[in-house]
Amino acid sequence: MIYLDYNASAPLNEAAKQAMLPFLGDHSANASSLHRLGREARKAVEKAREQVAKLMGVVNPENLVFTSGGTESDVWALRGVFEEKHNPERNSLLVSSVEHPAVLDTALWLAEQGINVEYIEVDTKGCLYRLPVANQTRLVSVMAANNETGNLYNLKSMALWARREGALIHTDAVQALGKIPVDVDAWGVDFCSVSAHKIGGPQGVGALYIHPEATIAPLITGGGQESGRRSGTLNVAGIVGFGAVAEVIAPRLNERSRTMATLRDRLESKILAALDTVHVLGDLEHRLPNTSLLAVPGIKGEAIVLEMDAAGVAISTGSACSSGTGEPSSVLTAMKLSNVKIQGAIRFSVGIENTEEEMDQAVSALIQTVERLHTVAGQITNV
Amino acid sequence: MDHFLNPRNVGILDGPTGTAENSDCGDVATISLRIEEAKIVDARFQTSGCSGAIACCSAATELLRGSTLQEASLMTREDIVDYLDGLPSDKYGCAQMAAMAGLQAIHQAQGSEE
Repeated sequence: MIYLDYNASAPLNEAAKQAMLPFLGDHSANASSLHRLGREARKAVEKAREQVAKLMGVVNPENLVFTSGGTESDVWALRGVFEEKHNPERNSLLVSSVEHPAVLDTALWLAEQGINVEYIEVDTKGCLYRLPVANQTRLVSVMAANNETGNLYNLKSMALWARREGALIHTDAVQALGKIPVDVDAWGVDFCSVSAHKIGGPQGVGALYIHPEATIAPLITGGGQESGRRSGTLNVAGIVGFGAVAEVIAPRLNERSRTMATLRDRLESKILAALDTVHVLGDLEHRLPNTSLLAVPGIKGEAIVLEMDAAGVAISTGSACSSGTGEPSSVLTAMKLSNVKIQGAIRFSVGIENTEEEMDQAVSALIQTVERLHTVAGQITNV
Repeated sequence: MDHFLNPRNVGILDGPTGTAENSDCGDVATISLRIEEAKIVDARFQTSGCSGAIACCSAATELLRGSTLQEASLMTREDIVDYLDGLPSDKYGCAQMAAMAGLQAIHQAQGSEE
């Protein structure tokens, strides 16, 4: 199988797996326990915290709290900020309209609780283009990189803007981490969500960076782990795996970005040369190095993905038809693209384990798939 | 899955033709027929729909081929689902679309006979 769906999940890195194994075996213990095994687990967790902090550009690892993944981090940042009862007149949340569902659905939930939610609109390339007039904004949430288009957003300027308005700012850097430099301290954000499995760590682990001066209520209450910020027995093996892969990536980040870009550009240019109706969606000037979101007009992305799967190539639709609901991607809908483009959107997301041969094979498979589906469609076009 | 990856009877015929839309997603399909002595000797389809649309149209044309117009006019969504040995419930709209396209073609054939 040629795996080109890294934005969905990256395969588990070997160093991460090896680092995890002791904590899945003889060394498994509760990191809060006082005995030797417990203390060793705690030590391993703190080492991982330093490793992940380094990859995130966070100088003080104490500002990182481990969670169950990107979704929990996002949900916590949003709900936790609005749980805080002080400053009740600041009742607005400002989010971009292309955020991950973890943010958008939480924003809808907060709206039901009486929070005023405002959206930053995007243009047809997915670039933010209109900041609503600040209206007692308590929190701004803008992602660092979009999961579907790969678009990058300028967090430094967003953070400056938020500061001026007296608002806190959260960023979902789940897709950015490990692909481009993430520099939380330099960006000046208050909260930053990351996830282990997108960078080759295990699934079920993530972290939330919390600026020491930002106040946020816990989402998960209980035994008071993580300095009372996030209760629940620590997922020691998962956290250790996250740390190990962060350590592998940190010194090689730029080299890895270039490798991804070379592979992605090879794939994309060959597809565009072979299939003249296909075009690239998103902001080509400011994009993750590994992502290529393509519109194949006239045929269904879902059909392409399934047929590519049968041909041994794993790709994804533009998050369309998620869980078979047939609902179009919220990101592409926010970009106000035509239905034809949305329905025919497919996403390639490569990783450094991929090879140039795999890119070429994927191009051939796509050409055959598109030709065949065009034959099946004949003169039929959907509106 | 086989009817999606290896669809039978793709194409269009110069005969009675029915077109239907899947109200769930806007997909469109056509089924066209060649009829000799009130019997369907060939059936072809075209669709730009999803995997379900392709599989259901393939199944529908297989069911139609060789049937009399009378038999074929009784084809239902369930016949297509059964022929495919079941279908995820979110793809029932695809089976409905294929059945409707087939029935429209049959109605056109019956209309031209009278």
